[in-house]
Amino acid sequence: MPIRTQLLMAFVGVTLLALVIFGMVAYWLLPDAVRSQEASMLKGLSQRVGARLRAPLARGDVDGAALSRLRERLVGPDTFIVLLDSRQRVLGSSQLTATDDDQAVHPERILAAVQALPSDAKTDQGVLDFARRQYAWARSPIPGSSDVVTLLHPLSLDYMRFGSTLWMRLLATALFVMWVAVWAALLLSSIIARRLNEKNAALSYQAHHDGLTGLPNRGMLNEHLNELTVRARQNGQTVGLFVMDLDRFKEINDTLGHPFGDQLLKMVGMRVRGILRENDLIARLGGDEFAVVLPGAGRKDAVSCAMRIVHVLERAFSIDGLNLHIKTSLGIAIYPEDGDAADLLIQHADTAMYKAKKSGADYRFYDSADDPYSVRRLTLTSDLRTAIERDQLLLHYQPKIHLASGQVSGVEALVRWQHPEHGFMPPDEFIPLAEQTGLIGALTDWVLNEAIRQCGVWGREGRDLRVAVNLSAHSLKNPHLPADIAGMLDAWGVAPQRLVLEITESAMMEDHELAADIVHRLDQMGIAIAIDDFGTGFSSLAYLQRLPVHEIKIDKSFVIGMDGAENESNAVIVRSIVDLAHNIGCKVVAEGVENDAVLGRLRAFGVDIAQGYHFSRPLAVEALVHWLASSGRSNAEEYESTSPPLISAISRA
Amino acid sequence: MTLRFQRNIGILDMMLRIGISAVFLYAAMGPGPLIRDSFAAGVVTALAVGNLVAALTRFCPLYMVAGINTCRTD
Repeated sequence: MPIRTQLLMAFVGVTLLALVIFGMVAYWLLPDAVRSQEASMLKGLSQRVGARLRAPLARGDVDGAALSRLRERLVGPDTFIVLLDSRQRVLGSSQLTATDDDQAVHPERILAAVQALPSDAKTDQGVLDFARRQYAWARSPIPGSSDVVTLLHPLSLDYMRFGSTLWMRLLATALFVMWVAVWAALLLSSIIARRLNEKNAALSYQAHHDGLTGLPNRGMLNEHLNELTVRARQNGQTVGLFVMDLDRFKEINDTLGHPFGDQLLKMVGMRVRGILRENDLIARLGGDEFAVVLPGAGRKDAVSCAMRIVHVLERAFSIDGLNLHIKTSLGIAIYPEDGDAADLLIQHADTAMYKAKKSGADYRFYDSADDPYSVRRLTLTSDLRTAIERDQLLLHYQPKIHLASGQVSGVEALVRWQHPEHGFMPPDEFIPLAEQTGLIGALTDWVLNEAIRQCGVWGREGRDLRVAVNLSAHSLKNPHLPADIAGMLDAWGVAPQRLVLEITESAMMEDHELAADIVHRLDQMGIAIAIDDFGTGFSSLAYLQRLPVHEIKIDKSFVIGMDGAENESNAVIVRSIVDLAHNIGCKVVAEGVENDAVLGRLRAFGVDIAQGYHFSRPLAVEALVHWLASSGRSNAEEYESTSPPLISAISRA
Repeated sequence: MTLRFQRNIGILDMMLRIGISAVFLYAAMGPGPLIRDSFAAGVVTALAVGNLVAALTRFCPLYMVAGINTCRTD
């Protein structure tokens, strides 16, 4: 029931109640009021009658006829005058008008009743109650004598009857009061209801909108999306959902301040809102995350809208005189193929957004393969766990050639997984999977153990090969790592000097204090540390200088680039890295060497060690042993001229 | 706030009001009036006349204030 109806009913109810109570009280009080009024009127009359009777009584000239005449003159025809002496004897009475009223009381009974009235002076008025009729009475002593005159008047009950003036007035007043009450109730209730509705609307707006940007919030997005998906299900339509966030927004907040960041968020919200259609919705999910709902949009519409959003946000944002360029990443999920419920769609668009951010793309569609919670990923995760537990993984080794001597200086261990159903799994698919699902610890342990074991086997066979193992950022957060590695080295009887741990710059920087501590402890054990993929991270050189780094591995993109269109700039970078590494006392390893020309230039730059398909692809143990026997021990010069390019034998193909 | 005297009394509402007004007027002023008291008759007559005017113009100021409309909207 609306609040107004309730108020109205309450008002009218209270008014009705008041009217009824008022009416009843009036009804109860009225007879008493009428009686006492009549009695006091009679009292006055009796005094006047008494005064008139004084002289005739002194003359002894009082009889019934005289009393009747007096009655005609002074009082009314239906009033009754009785004269009593001090001993209550009737001296005379006015004629009782004979009426045909069957309710009339016989005069003798009235006289008897008057005689029976208490004779004390204080009681001088009251009501005599006969069965059918009531009489008001009053008496006064006659001055100068001991006689008493009593007047009686029948009480009229007319006022109690329906249709009497009293009733009519009561009803008319009630009608009027009701009318006023309804007016007041409607007025008040409409005012109150309007106030309440305004407050409710304001509250619900606050609950559904983001305070900063004024855009709908996550709650409203959910509701809206739920409604849309229900409607879309009935109509067989699609719904597009974007989740987008601003890359490096935290940096903007940290360096320029939160008011600046807030301003930027507002402007982003306004710009995106500006290019959307009327029915589209943009919501702020919190932080720098926004969501856009496109009812009826399929993949093509989604792409064109995503491009428009990317485009509109490419323009510089001018805040406080600063021109700011930002980049966004969009994740796209389409109802119904990417999820049939609002929360699932949002989650999937979110996954796609992270994928886009990671790959540096403007937008990405949701792909269940990227989703850590998708069925395929879940099965793969459990398969990977089984593979680690049951030793179903395999290490391949890629030789590293010492350029000055032409000797094989060591091998890099690379993990391979032959999935029983899906076949060969590329490491860049299952290693991120392991990182996301927490399997990376077990995987690293397995690889370390297997590599050290193999190293021990080679050691006993008399092959002096150093084995390099890649460590992830995760390993550098594990304070037990040095102790674990020491245990493995002990178990397989391998000298720490034969182990190289390759760590990427970004892994080193993630929790750099703990990482530095671990690296120092590994160094003290005698294990060599190599910086992997050098030149692609954003590490501080000064910081690197303080770390006990033995080798720097130039990222293969620079090495391969030396053979491409931008060969000179890549060559400059490689030469600079070589100089830098030598200056801080590190050896330089070049990865991705694929042909003679590049090898020649690397040698000219002073690169110490080279690795790549030009020498050999990663090989299984038997193949490596075979390779070592056939060519590995030859010097590099010989090798250059004899070895066939092995690019065609990439194991992934 | 602009006062727009827009119809807000529906047909049924109008009939009801005319009926009530007629009864009131009959009670107050009809032959052999039911209400003999002049004060009561005055009040009832005033109410009846107000109601009748609202019914005939199809506009009730109270409805406007309260935002009620008994006109059929469809």
